[in-house]
Amino acid sequence: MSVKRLEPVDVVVVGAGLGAAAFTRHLAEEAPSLSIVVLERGGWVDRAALPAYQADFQRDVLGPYATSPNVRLAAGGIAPSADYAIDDSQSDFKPLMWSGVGGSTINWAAHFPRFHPSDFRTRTLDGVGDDWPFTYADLEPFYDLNDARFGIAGLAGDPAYPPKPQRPMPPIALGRLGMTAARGFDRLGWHWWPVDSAINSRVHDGRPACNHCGPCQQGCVTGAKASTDMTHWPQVIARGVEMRTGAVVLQVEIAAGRVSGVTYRTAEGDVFQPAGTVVVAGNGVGTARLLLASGVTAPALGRNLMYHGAGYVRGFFAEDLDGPVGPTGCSIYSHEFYETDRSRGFVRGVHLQATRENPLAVQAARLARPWGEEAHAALLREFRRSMAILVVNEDLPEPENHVALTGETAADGLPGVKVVYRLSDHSRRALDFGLDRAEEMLRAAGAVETVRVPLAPFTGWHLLGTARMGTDPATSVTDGSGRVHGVSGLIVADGSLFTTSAAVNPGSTIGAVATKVADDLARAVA
Amino acid sequence: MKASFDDAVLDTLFPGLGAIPPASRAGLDATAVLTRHGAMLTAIAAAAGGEDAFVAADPGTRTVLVETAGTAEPAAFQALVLAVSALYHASAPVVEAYGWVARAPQPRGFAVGAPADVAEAAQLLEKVRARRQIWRA
Ligand SMILES: Cc1cc2nc3c(=O)[nH]c(=O)nc-3n(C[C@H](O)[C@H](O)[C@H](O)COP(=O)(O)OP(=O)(O)OC[C@H]3O[C@@H](n4cnc5c(N)ncnc54)[C@H](O)[C@@H]3O)c2cc1C
Ligand code: SF4
Repeated sequence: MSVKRLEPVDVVVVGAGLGAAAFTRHLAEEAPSLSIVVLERGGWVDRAALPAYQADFQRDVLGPYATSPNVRLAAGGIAPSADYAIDDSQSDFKPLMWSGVGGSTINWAAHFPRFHPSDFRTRTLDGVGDDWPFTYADLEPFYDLNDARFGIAGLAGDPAYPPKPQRPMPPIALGRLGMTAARGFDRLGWHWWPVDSAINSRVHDGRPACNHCGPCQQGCVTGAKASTDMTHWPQVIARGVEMRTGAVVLQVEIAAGRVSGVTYRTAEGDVFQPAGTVVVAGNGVGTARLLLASGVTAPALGRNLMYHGAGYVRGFFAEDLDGPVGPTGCSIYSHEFYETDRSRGFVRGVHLQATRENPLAVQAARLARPWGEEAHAALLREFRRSMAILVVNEDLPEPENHVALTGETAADGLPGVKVVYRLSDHSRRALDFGLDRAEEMLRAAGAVETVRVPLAPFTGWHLLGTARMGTDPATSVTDGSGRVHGVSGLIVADGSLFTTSAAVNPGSTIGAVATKVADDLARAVA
Repeated sequence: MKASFDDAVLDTLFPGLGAIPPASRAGLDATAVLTRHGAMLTAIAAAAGGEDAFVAADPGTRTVLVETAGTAEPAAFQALVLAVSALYHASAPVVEAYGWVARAPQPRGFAVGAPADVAEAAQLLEKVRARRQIWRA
């Protein structure tokens, strides 16, 4: 097949997800003379076609709009996400994502916590993981910039964090569920705070306030939830950046230790886009897949996959809570047990988060025995009366947990990809501790019964660490500016950069790090 | 016999309870799902000694037969149950019987929270604020 050759540009960005958007927005503002092209395998979402406008939306939640690309593909792949199959048969958690403009911010929950300062120094403080090549203080200005670009609803003054700027919107309504959880934490004297969320609680930045419809993880039809197809890409395109959708990058072209551009596939054929700098932001699976396919040989590439250990305890209450409404992940959280306390038998910590109820069909699918009269009895007991406390622990980087190529060519033209991941003893201990605390809290909040889910497979929301930052090329893939060791002009700007995972959702930190990476590049080319 | 066999299987998986209708009367269009999972239905019929025998059995016996077939092929059975469950629990009569509204979440959305929540939360948070710093430098 002949490959069409295009005119060279300064920068090609692969992917249009969270990291890519934060990176490109900052670079386009700081280095406006650069010519930049973005290549995204998927397309733009049509909000009017998302499930929340349909009465039977619940079927889509479990099928074509499930959070897992494999489940969506099995349901016929009709969602506007250009999914690729991932062999996750050897992984305790199943990778979840969206492949289109906006990346996984299309179906994320938009809970927007920062890392703690200690998260950047785990080796120094606790003798595990590795220190990042920069500190919280170094990243702080980029957190602030990134917050402003996403638009945050939250409350200043949280003692779990160094001071953060005043949030432009108050927190999302806690609801009966959040208030019940708050009283539980309060009775125990534990820390709790309303979450920072990238969801409008008021009209903000030309987008409406959330009306608590519920299915955020199938895409937000109102636009109240920030996703980079609204918060970043239109602004970036207005600055002259070119976005090409339906463009699957097959290869980063590298010769004599420097990039020359990328080859990508479109419906019309294969194209070579020459570029001085190639920035890969395909997420912890997609980036590792592309760089491995491109012959990048860094020993740490694809290794140290971190999802975060996740399990939860469900509490059933005698009185009604809110039912399946409100932004799923955005209510309140506790960092009472976030920092290391060696007396617990493990280092690092856990994040506890009150999560809202799911639609009836999703709750039903999670029953221990999901059929027969017993299923009705169980569902009647819990529907509208349940709250799950999600326990997330800091997953430590382990080389055995990895992304690899399968050796076969996949339907999209790239090599097939698999994930291999086993929950470590460290994570098991931390999760068990967190589950005990969650149970204690739910009882204090008035739950009449609790059910433990020690490991929740469909929580592979966070795909981190497979092209990690560091100073040693033997154990890291990039330096602290996202530049791949030994390949001039090749940069990574997404969640795969994470040196360690902390115990909180990564979106805010991915955005801040990608902004810093762009800032470093802008300074280098100035 | 096929239609009543299908209904008997559906109602064994999701029988009615009080106001909650059994699957055969919940307005489901389950044809595609039952076709896709035909092998599991065949296994259920085989466990009973044929479709007629399954239909003729009382509800308790049907449950045991479904259980037997399901235990022999857990993955296929799980897939059938989840596929029917998704249809059943998304159907308007079932959603309403569970006390929820069977309408699209949008454009109306839902009201969340009570006016007094903000003041109560602020009061509870005073104690938390007073801890000043719980993060490690
Ligand atoms: C259901 C769900 C809920 C979540 N909830 C939260 C939350 O509440 N808070 C939080 O912080 N995080 C959350 N996350 C995680 C968060 O969304 C991701 O961590 C974040 O989006 C990852 O950013 P990224 O830039 O690494 O990759 P992504 O945002 O996934 O973007 C990668 C992009 O690259 C494209 N791409 C990949 N390979 C190629 C290729 N070869 N050619 C062209 N394009 C390519 C993909 O199509 C995709 O658009 C959630 C994720 C999911 C799936
Ligand atoms: S609950 Fe709010 S943020 Fe979530 S999808 Fe509905 S309107 Fe959007």
